[in-house]
Amino acid sequence: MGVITHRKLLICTYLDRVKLFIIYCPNQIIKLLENNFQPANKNGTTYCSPLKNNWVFILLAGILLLSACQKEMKPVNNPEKINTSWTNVNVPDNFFKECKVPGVADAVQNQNPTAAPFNTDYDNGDLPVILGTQLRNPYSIANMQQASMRLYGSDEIIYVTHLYVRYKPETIAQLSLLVEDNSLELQDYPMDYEVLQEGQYYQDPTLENEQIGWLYTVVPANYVPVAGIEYEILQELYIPPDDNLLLEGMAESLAGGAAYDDTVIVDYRHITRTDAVAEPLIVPNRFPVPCEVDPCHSGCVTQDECGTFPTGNNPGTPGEYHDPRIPRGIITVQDQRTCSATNPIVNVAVRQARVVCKRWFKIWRGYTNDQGEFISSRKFKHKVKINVKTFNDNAKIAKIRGIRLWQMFFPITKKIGVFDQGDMAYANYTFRKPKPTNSADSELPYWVAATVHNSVIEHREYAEQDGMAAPPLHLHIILSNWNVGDFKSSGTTPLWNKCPVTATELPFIQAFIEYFIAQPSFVAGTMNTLVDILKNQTDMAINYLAPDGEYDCRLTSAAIKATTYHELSHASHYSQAGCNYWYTYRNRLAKEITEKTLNPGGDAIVPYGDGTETDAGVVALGEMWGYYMEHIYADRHYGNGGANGTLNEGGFTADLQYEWPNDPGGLNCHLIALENFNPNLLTDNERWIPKGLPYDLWDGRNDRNFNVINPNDNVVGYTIQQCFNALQSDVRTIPAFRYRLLLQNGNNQNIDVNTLFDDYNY
Amino acid sequence: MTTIIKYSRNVLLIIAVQSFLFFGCNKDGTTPCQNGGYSFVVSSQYSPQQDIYQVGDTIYFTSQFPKTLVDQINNSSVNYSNSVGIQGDIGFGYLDTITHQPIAARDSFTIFSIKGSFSERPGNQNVGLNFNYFENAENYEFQAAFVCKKRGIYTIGVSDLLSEGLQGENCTNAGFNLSLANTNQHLYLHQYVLNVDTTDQELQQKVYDFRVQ
Repeated sequence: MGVITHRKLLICTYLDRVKLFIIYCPNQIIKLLENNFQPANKNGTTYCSPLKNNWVFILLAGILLLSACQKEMKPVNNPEKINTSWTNVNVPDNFFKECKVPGVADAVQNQNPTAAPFNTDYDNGDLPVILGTQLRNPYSIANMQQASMRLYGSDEIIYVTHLYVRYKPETIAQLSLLVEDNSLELQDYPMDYEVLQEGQYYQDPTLENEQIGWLYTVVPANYVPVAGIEYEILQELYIPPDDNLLLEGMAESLAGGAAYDDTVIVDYRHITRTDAVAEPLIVPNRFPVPCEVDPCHSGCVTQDECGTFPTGNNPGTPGEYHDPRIPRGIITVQDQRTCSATNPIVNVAVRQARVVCKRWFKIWRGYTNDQGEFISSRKFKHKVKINVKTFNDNAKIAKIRGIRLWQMFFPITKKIGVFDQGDMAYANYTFRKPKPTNSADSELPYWVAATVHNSVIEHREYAEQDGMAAPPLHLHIILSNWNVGDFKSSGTTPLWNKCPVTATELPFIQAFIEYFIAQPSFVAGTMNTLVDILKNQTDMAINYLAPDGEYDCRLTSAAIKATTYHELSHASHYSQAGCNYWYTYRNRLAKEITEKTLNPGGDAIVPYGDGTETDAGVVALGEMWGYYMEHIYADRHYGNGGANGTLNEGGFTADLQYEWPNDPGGLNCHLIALENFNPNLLTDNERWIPKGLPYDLWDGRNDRNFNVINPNDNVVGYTIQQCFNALQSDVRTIPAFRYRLLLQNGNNQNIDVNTLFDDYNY
Repeated sequence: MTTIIKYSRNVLLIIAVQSFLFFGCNKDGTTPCQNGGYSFVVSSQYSPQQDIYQVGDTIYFTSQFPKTLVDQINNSSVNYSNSVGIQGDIGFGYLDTITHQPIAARDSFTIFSIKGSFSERPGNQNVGLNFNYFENAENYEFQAAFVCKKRGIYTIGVSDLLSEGLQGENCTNAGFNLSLANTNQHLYLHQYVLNVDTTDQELQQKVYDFRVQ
């Protein structure tokens, strides 16, 4: 279509109406002559508007009709040339008014905010969402009816498909119930407001900091609300089930204040924007009109037809056509095995992570596959916001904060971008480890979260391979950079969500939280508030403070995964041993930590004790298993690590009592750490935890033959499954473990087994 | 009343926690860090180096290293003074040619500490002892004398060393990779009696074999 000037366009538009008048209103011409004319269509849109009784004007119009606008009107004059099955409608530029989209700030901002120094940023690097004005809802029934009338001359297709609703949970239990509800895509700020600043949380100005805010979402029209929680229906919505982007575009444009006229000429509806300059939209006048905007219809494979697409780093087959209206992409995370140049960082898929594509009230939710790929089943116009959440049925991974504590219930959510049509078809994103970085870097937890997220999946797979019970589903994992510094890059698995805190535990839980999760100086209110939030809701904490502040070399993916495998192996142990065991286990640690807290100069040894305490056997068993599986699975995941050099070259290392590098000609550092564990070193306060025992039950090397100080290990072949099977609920000491292991395995190698346990001092 | 009690309890607990956080690292102690601390490389030596000793001969075990060491993790120099204690584990084995097994044999030697000290190891005490370094102005040092009492083929093995940290400084725990500086460890005896692979890294770094006749 040729270029037309503004003046010419106005003339054409006017003449178009004149022509319609002539075609559709022949009788009115006579009446016009009689100056007696007042019709209007049922919309109130006047097609045949009163004209002045001006024959000169009509003649002039007739001349112009046949000349000036002939090219533009050709489709109307030659309807037979139009493919009636044509469903591709190119919307003219500026036909739809560009409107603000809620939830999306205009400017790119605050992409990499860095938290303020410790104890001054209770939000731990998160930024507040700042709202602007409320926007007119294009998906309201009334607005959708208007849009439908404009496009189709009918509003029969409009009905209530969805409800815009909000919940106001009052308690943590209510909040948890909603967050765990997979059918709800909750957001903590209204869905129909302009956003001036994007952020990670919203503080409702009408509520106190620690009051749980309203949670907004969209639900199907037949949704049955969760009983007992304050609930409001804010608006009835029509969200086109068939992704009718033309209708959505018209609705949004109308809601934004655009005005249109429409005219039916034979088989076509000519819709003209009247508040701004734009070419008319011409669509088949059928109902319902399959007039979906398809800028790249089926079979279109070239850039010429499809417009310009992003190039490079595209998922799938090179040259493969991706519908520009369908968000899809690949989500990856940097995998840093070591800080050595010989082990460069590689990108690996973020597996089975929740992806949310959202625009106004239209939401698609799905998961990445094991290759990190996602593809939306819904189409979007543009400005679709895509979030990736470390959340699936296995686990929800959140982050510690010191204020608005209820926000910790939401999984870590990374906005990977706001994408226009075309770009959204290649919405790739990589979780990167910032470099340099530190514990206050607000980007760091995203990378840690993605790494932990993958580790959960890997652990389940490895556990299945080994016949070990999987951790329970729906684990609540919290990442922390605020724990006591002596326990860096480590974790804890109290499983408070799976085994609710009992009254007898309460006096000890605060010290436990301070040690493993957050010190009081990071919390704006009292620790009681934090305890109330975390108790019964937290299963596991993974800390990402780097030992010695060495974030490049000592907070590697390998280190994070090893810690996560350790904690998840505790969770597997729980799956078999149950809550009664776990109460004893976590209470033993909590009491030791509390004792140290109350008497810093005393004998308490945090967090495990010295092995002489009542119930120390439960800890010995639990930690034996944690350390064993940590190193076995880290070895399995990374192999020999590729470390070619020494520690100071950033080689792949592991530690139990000492730091172990890979043996270039032999064992992986993780296996060396297990193999060289010495239970007879007084200096090691944890020597009573037989961290190397399960490996010695399996391996074929008698360590004593190589160094007389080592255990006499003639036992071979006890598998992970056999050892795990013995970790039953009533097995609460290392000797009990030995008895059960032998009992379950026909006293296999019983003499050597007993000797080995003896050499571990049990 | 209940509120006051709760409040008081909370205040006390917070004070206690702060005390723990700020004074837990007292001047006489240290708290090791998980996944933290240092990794050093040090050496030791047996002398005189010979593969056959006579009953009554003395074998000296010496290990000495400066207090300023290079941390193998980040390749930086560390002043490791005022350790709460650097300890290793040393064991004595009789290599039994009949059973082809090592048998605990601390009782085949009379053991003296010359620099540093010994302490009983938690496990089988006839295997050996824990040994503790002495800190002087410049070095950490351990020296011991083992007087041979019985004939036979023997092995002495040591562990790596461990320090829980520096006095008054948390997260300064350290592992010391202790290797032998002897040019000949007579590992053929290990191969002869136990038929093991003498290229084993642990064997090469930690074990010294000899005959007593």
